[in-house]
Amino acid sequence: MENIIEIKGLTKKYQNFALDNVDLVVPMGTVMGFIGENGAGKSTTIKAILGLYKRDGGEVKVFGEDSEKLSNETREKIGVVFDTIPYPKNLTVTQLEKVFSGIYKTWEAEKFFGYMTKFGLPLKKKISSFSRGMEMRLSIAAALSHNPSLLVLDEPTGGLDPVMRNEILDMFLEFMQDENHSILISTHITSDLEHIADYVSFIHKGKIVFTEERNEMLEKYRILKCTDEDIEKMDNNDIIGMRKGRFCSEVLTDKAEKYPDIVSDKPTIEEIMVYYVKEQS
Amino acid sequence: MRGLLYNILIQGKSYFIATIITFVALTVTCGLLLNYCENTLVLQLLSLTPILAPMTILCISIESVCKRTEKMLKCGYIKYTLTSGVSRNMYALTELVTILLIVAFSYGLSSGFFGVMKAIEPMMIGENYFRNCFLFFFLFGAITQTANVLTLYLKNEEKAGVLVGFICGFLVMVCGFVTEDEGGLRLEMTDEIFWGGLIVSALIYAVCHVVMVLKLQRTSS
Repeated sequence: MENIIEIKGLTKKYQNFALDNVDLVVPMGTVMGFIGENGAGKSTTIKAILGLYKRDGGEVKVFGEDSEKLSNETREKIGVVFDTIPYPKNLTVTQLEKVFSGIYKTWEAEKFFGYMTKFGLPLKKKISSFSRGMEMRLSIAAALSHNPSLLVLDEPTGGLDPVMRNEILDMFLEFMQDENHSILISTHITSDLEHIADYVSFIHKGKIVFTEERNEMLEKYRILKCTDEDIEKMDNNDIIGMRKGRFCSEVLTDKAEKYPDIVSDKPTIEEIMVYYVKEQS
Repeated sequence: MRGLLYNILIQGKSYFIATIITFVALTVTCGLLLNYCENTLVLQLLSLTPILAPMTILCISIESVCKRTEKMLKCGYIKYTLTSGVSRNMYALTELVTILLIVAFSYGLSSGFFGVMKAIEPMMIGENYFRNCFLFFFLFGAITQTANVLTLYLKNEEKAGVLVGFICGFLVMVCGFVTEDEGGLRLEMTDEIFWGGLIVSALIYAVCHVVMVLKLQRTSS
């Protein structure tokens, strides 16, 4: 399977933060969920993919090209949604459409206005009067209207109500009907990934903790409901994270088969992330 | 470039309209006063308008260009356009073209004003005034370009404006381009200064363009 994004050993140092040897691969035709707490390095990794800064080390390839030297044609194949709307807010949607049609060669005005109707966004109102949800819908519509093959989404569903979030996730699934399309989606709302992600990559303090196939990951991990005695009997290496309760403790492990007598639950992606972060902080 | 220019023109629409209205009003008022007013104090003040009017329009243009850059930087538009099919060079080139368009627009308006003044009172506008003003506008465009680049660095148009103001004020004082005599302010402009000024301005444009392209590589990080 061809890889749309290939990151090997990406390093970037800032004063108080560093991306440390990040490896990430997004195969064609898949949705990669990129999770991690605030400041873990998700946006910095996305900026490296978009070639927005000079990296200190490593290699980042998008559609086989070095991300720092992406051709304009390749850039047009990437639809980007940032966590905040990056457009001049004193423009109306109609004016913004004219800006986009001058920027993208592959821009489809009909498609864009179709999304505007679907989302119920007013064409003549200034963007500054839009709510957060309306802004994100506009941003997603713009990203989809120049026919990209890869969507890079940085917190696209943040601030949206559940109904709208589901509608937008459905749009992403529709986008994925074309087997040549791929999505890299960074989000805090990990439940979204349970609907659409094929793979999940977890970054913590600038390092990739794991990248796994979603269903395999959800099958692999278990939360064990343990007493203090159970925990004492457990091998410390099997404990990924632990949450102490009043009557029993919850332990995240990927070796649940070693403890068949302990009651276990399937964790959500969010729980896996939280246990990892708690253990390492 | 088309989309970027459209955005710039839309952003600066009110500036262009306001400038046209101001200049038309100024031309009409000055024309009427020159024709009908005999008060010497008013006439002396009028003799300053050929210098003050273009200076005002140019100061507003610096403000409008830098304010827009700050706004675009802060809302993430620059980062966004760089992730689309727009190269850094193209972005910087659009900024340069915009400034040259503003210079041409300002010079056109000012020339109209000078033309009307000259038609009414030939002594008011000197022989080389159109030529000298062209240099003045071209140089001011280069200063605007400098302030624009500084806005990218400082992420604040006010700081950039103050810094450029200090540099320009210092240079004007040191070089003694503007002298004061009984007739008011006079631009001492020889052919050498004219051509030298044009070359220096063109160099400033070129250097600022390169610096802007380099800065844009780091801006979004």
